[in-house]
Amino acid sequence: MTDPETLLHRLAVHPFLAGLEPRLIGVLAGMARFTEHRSGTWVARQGRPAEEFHLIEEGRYAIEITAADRPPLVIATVHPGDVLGWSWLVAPYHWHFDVVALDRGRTIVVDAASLRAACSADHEFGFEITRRFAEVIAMRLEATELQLIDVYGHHR
Amino acid sequence: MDTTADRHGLIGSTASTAAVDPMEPVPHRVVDRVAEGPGIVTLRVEPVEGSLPVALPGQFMMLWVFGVGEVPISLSGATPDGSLFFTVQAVGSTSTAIVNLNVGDLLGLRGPFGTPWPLEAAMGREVLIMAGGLGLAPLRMAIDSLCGDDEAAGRLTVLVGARQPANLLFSDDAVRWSSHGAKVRTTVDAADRTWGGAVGVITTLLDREPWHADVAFVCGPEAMMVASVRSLIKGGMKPEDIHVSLERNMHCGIAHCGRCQLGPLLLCRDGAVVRWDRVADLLAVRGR
Repeated sequence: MTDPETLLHRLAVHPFLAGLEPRLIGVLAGMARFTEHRSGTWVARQGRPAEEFHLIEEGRYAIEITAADRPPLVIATVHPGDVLGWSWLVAPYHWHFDVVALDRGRTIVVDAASLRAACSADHEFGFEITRRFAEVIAMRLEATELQLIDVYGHHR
Repeated sequence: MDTTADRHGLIGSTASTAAVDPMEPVPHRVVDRVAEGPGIVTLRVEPVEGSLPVALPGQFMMLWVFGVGEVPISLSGATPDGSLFFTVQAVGSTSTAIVNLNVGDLLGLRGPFGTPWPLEAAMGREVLIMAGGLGLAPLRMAIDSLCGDDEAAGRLTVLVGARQPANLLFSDDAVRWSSHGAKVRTTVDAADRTWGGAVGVITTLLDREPWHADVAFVCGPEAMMVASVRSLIKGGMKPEDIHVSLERNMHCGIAHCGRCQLGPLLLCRDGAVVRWDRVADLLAVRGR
């Protein structure tokens, strides 16, 4: 059961939403709820519809890629204070990676369909949310660039 | 003379150094060899005869494998009895020959050369150290020095990145640094699910928790340093408070041959440790 007051407070103190106006926190709260995951739970599977994103409060989550001829590779872990999932923002709204809980985890999960509708209806809200996710995407892109050039590998 | 090394107990060889010719290798014998990871070893060497000047954290020496060649390697440690430590990764023919040395084998050393980490500038200040891959080796003496004073250790944050968990160096040292009060955080670029730590490039460690630093030391592959410095400046640091360790084709070690030129700098003399504001524009030029 998600208590509205507790939800508002926990949204307000989550680092991803730092600086977001109380009115906009309230809009987000209307489409959010608490959830918990046991270690080993799949939170997202590559190619499946991205129907939500998560604000992580406890636990670590592994973002994995899988190729047919090799074991899964963890390319990033996300931790308390991080946000998990931007696929909900970009059509066709399918997860790009697998995500698994590495520990017992707790998140605030936000419904993507409601969020997209709210972003379209309230452009101030939409801008604030999109701006924050753009920073996350830019950060992940920069990390991917460094991983792509295999910065610690040998280059002759 | 009251050197930084004296004050921090980082004494290398102790005998007189007046007669040392910087171009003449001084024979040293390998007395210990520790495998650190795939193709990476730490050698402990002692002088056979003669000795070299005291080495400061961040300085490098030229290591000569007789009949093979000579390469610049930063010190990863020194003890008061004159032992020197070098952590080497097998990359080319000479570094591979060094990695394959065994206890009892000889090699020649010249140096120490270049500039040290500015530990004086770090005293009494919040210090952030970022080390990528083998870049932790040239920083190890500096971290040891700061951890020699629990107050300084309490103001020290060490962020370590590596390619994979097997490539992380000096795990025992990291535990020791933490026990002195330093905040040590580690991440790897990729792992399987058995790895219990963080996965992500080193700059993600800066995003994960609040940080403040008055001075930063950064060492690792150049792309890693550039990305790290960009994040440090974005986080509010001034370029003149950031120091990096650069590597070019050091050869003579005494600024005569010019092979290690980077713009107006000869890195064997003006580096390896340089302030970021002196090199930022130079590194932006493609091909340098």
